[in-house]
Amino acid sequence: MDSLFICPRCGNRAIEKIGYIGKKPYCRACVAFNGEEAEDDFHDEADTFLDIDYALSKDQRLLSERIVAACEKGIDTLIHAVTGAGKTELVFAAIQKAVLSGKHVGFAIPRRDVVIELGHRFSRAFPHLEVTSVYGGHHERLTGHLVVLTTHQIFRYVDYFDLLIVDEYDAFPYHGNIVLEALLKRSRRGVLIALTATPTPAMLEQFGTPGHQILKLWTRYHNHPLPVPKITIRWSLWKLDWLIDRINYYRRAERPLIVFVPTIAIGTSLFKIIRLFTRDGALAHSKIDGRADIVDAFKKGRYRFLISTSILERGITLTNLQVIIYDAHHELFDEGTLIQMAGRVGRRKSAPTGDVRFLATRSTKAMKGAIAEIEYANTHL
Amino acid sequence: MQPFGVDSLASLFDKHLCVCASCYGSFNPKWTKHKLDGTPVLALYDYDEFIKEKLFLLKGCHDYELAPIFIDRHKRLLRYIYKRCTIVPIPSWHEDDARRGYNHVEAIFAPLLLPMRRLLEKSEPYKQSDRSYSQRDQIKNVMRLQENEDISGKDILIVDDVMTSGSSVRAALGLLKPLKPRRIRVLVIARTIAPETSR
Repeated sequence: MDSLFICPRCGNRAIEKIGYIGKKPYCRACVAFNGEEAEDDFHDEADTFLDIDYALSKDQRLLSERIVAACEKGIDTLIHAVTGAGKTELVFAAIQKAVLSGKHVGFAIPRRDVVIELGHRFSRAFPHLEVTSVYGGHHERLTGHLVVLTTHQIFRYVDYFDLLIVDEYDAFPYHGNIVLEALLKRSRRGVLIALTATPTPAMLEQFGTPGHQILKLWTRYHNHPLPVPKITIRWSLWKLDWLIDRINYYRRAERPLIVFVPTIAIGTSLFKIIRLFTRDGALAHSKIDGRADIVDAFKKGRYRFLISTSILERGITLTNLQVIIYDAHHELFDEGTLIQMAGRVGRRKSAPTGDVRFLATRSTKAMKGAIAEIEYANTHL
Repeated sequence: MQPFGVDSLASLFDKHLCVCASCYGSFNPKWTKHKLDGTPVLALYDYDEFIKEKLFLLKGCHDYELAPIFIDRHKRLLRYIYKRCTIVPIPSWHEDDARRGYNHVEAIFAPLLLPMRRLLEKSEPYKQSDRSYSQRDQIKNVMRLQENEDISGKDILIVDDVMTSGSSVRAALGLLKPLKPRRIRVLVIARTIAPETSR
């Protein structure tokens, strides 16, 4: 049922999502997104050059030029690039161009630790620009030449961005969240560039309509093929036996290993058993306090292996990392998730190859689909 | 008195509950009791993630519709326990209330339908949650009596949303006890597990 009150922020008009303070109606759908909003008063002439210490690959350069062209024509673009392709580097040229012509540029990412890291990276790449990072608990300054923000902070901007780049467009906060999508729409007045490695059918449909375009990048920046996962079928105790064997093998080879598990409960019970055999591992999931420290320690090499839920599915890059996906047949692992997890391997130029294993009791459509997708991408080399 | 038995069957029989059946299970009432300077304190819940989130939505995000959910299923029992009491809410800074459009503590305990007196007020913006444990006693200097109403011989119920160190409640007790009420009791929604429990 519709109500007479329509939320001016998110456009919600469902009567069960309208509340009242006294007689004054308010929207309950976007109630979590309130706070100070940015004012459109930042007009500072920018004079910048791009300072990056690595060269783009040929494919990257070509695509980068097409993105710049799309920005000028005002075409909303979906960039479908394989994992580890260097998606962020693709948009540097477009950002530079937009900033030079005095436009407001925003870069939205789901995770806040990535915002912090990327803010530093942009500051280094554009030495003369004012790069503002906005995330939960850090929103004193809202304007700048380039605003790097978490997706949830997008409500602070109204009709503000001339160029809005959204990384991991298929990731959790957007996926079917009507409020965030409405707020995203509200925040921009110009071009939208969406970056993803695993587009959903809905996204392909959205960007397949006229006035939009989809650009694809099939190769990684170091021009090595994507590691193709191998399926290992094992039952009950043999599964465990194989896993322990594998952990020991990678330990001897001195390669860090991530074992992805579908749920926290499976991860906890698996970790209890594994700990009886090897001691130098750790468990990371969203309910553990100080998981950032655990992941940092893992990156520094304090732990030899890490058992993790899908929290590390995106955005972790580590030299010579290997991946085992435990219970890959689990219904929570869809094709996109499996491709993202497999994409953790071989992201560095110094170690472009590695092992990805699907450890499962049976092979599923999602597993086969992920392998087919990765093999298809590799045919474009 | 435990929240079991007649009261928990309310979800089956009470059509006027404002919480749906699936959210009903997310509430985890504990009814922990202890004494603070000789005054009985009843905390309905532990300060777990669910309560924390809902209180934040009510206080920080101005979602007024969430106000009655906390004492929803307990309200009859509580009304019986605290019958003939006068509610005195722990105050918040009046500008915060003006911005919100309501006082969240008053809104939470309004369904009890007991008379409410705003006897206390804060003289300056002061947030307990910004302070460390050792600093929290300073609230004594910030809280004061608003009006000199005669409450001698009355039953007083001090209410608050979250009790951490107990300093706010202790300050309120210090102000109200000289007015010679017959009896003072304390009711809070959630109690955090303090490092050293105040007995």
